[in-house]
Amino acid sequence: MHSRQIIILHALFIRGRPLPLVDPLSHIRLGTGDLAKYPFLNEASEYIRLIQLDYDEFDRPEMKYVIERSAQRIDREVRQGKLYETLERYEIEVLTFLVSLMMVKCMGTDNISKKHSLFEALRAEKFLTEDLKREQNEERRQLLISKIFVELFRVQVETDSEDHNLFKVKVNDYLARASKFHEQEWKLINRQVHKGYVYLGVDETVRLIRSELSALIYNRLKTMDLSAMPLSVKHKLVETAPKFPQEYNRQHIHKIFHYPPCVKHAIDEMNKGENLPHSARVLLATYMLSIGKNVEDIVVLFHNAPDFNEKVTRYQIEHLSGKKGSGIKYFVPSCEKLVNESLCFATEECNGIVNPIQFGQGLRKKVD
Amino acid sequence: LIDSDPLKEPAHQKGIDNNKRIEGGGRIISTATQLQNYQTMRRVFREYYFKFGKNIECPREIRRREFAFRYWGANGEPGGMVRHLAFENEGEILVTALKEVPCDLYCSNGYYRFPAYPMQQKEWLGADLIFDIDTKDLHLPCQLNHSYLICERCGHATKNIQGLDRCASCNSQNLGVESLPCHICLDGAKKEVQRLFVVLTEDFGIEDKDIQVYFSGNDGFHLHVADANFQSLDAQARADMTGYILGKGILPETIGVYRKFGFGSNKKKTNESFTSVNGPSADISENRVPDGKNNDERNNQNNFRIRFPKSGLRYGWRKRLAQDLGVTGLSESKLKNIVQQRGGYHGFRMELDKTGKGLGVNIDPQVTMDVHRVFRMPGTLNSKSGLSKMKCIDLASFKPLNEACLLSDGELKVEMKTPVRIKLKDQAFKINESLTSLPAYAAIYLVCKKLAILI
Repeated sequence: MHSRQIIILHALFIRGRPLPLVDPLSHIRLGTGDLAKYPFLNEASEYIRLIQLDYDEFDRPEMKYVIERSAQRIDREVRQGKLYETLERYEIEVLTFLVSLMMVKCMGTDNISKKHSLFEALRAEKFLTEDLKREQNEERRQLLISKIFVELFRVQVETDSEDHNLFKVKVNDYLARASKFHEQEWKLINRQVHKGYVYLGVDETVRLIRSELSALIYNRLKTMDLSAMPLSVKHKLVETAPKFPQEYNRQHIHKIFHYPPCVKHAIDEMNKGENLPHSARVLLATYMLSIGKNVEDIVVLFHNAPDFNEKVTRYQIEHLSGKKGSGIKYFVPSCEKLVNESLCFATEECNGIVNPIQFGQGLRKKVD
Repeated sequence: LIDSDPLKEPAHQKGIDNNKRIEGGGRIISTATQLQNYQTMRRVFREYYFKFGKNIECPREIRRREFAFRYWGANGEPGGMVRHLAFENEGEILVTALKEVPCDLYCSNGYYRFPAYPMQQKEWLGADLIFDIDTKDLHLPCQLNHSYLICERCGHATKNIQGLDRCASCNSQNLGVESLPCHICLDGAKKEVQRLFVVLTEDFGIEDKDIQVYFSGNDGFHLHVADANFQSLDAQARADMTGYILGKGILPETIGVYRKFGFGSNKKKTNESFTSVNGPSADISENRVPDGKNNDERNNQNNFRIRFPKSGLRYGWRKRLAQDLGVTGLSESKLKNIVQQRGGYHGFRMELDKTGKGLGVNIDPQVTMDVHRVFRMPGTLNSKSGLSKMKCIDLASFKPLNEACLLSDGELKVEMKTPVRIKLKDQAFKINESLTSLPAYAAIYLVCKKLAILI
């Protein structure tokens, strides 16, 4: 029965999108190092299937290290908000990835799942950027692109004929992803566009798929069928879970006052544990500062962010308030800027204001 | 062709008021006259669909499209719209056009699993990419010469004069503007179409054969793109695309001008490498409030340095800007001089905003962004003019006011609200008399433009 559980578990891993009919790179195989860095690949699932790992085997002494490592990984990512950068041999990495998912799934909190997924995506993003920059063998590079961009996300990435470190992606693929980023530099107009392609640097190309990578891992967590747990993993979890702050056990739903729709939207998204972009976080923090909220109260607003780090958040808010850093006080971004960043959700109540701070003047009470 | 059974038409019959004031500046017309207007408009439009029904262009994947009709109001003016209709084939559309004679026929750019369901239940599958270029957005100097103010309250019409904000007849401030686009306006719109065509083919890589240009039937052009790659883009992605076409939001970094932070600031530079992570260090430089602590802050905003982008200035907006500024991407000193002349980074950015607007194509962004919109069907009449929405096979030689003017030559009597000069089907009309007879195409054009009433 346990074996069956594992098979069910890993059937989820190979449920990717259909492979291309003809894979011109099929004669080149991924290296084991690639499986270590990208354990979400279909090949990693295939590896698990081949070794026919039974639930009982998790209780063997040599698995102790993997389980310990998985707990550390979750702790570093979810509790400390830091990237887990250590890279071991593929046997360890693939299993650590799997056990981490089991643990996160078992914790059953959406915030933890989202945060873990995001950090796993960031980890893969780091490795992939390095690999694509360093790899001199073009066929190997194309294989990585094919396995991750094409097979998982159906994004065709080509190398510029003149510059090895310049990639090009189809305009529609770029727009479908980059239009969700709010920074002005990602607007299509600020890109080199030609004959249906957008030219990007290596790190920009990899950044393009971060959300999808995160969503891919999150969906695997969501669809994971985990009706039983190896005892050793369960014991470790019982030991680890209480270390997580209370806020992960309940959603921080912040009462929404008479805020402008853009601020309301940011709070709503934050409450849902979504990964709010920079500009939306700046809006939220500067707005709250300008209506007289104190730093501590504002920090609490960011608790549900998947990459929440209390220390960094507090510093950033103090920086915005002029208490730290340059001493410059930052003002609430204008409505025009918010429109440009697709953060404006104007309603009739906005009534021609030019800055969110003017919203409902006379109606809003100072809140503490 | 006689309108055999007008009273069986949809609800637009209701509400005919015996003493309703209509166009003509306070003249009261009877129910019988209103009915006659209604019947005449329907008769003329039906005649068109009998003769030119074959011109109606059936959309691709007709079963996945939502259709909409606007019906004639009781007084012969366009009335309410009925949406969420669905058809199985081309024949059904033509039969409905002939039977019901709507004043406008529309089809969605969107594809739906259930096109006839309410919007939330339709299940959107994608949408064609459509662009709208309107003469009124070009703000050409001739526009005022051929536009008219129509009082929404009493229907009085008068030549548009700058500063006029009240109806001369009833003193109402509720004035609408009607334009009779001249060949200068339409040629201007054609030039915009050609510029858009270049952006779509050169930058977006859309093939010529996948772009169809249509005269909208009034005062502009529609470009329909049949490239499946763009069908799945949502409104946000299309908004980014329209920003590109309009030339909105260019950063100086795009052409290699970077803001330089001085004074030992440890502020993270932005846009330098065009990379960004969703970490806590936000690009917040835009929102700084000069608070007197740093008097040099404003100057600091203008500090800059030049570093041409790795991918060069060969294509797209980079090429357009480089050409406009006369820089080549080889010599930094020329660009440096230009930026210095504009007062530095901030000044240069303001200048780029203007340049972008000047070099961009004047499309209506709302139209392209909307993935649930219904568009006038090619080959159908436009009730704002009585002209037909028509495919332009050869845009350069296409004469909208001749080729899209397909209504009959039979005479109709009209009462003019104001003297007008128009040119349709190569025939110039200088109308000064109040009561006159005109060919149907000219009479209907003026009635649709609310400058005349049928008598």
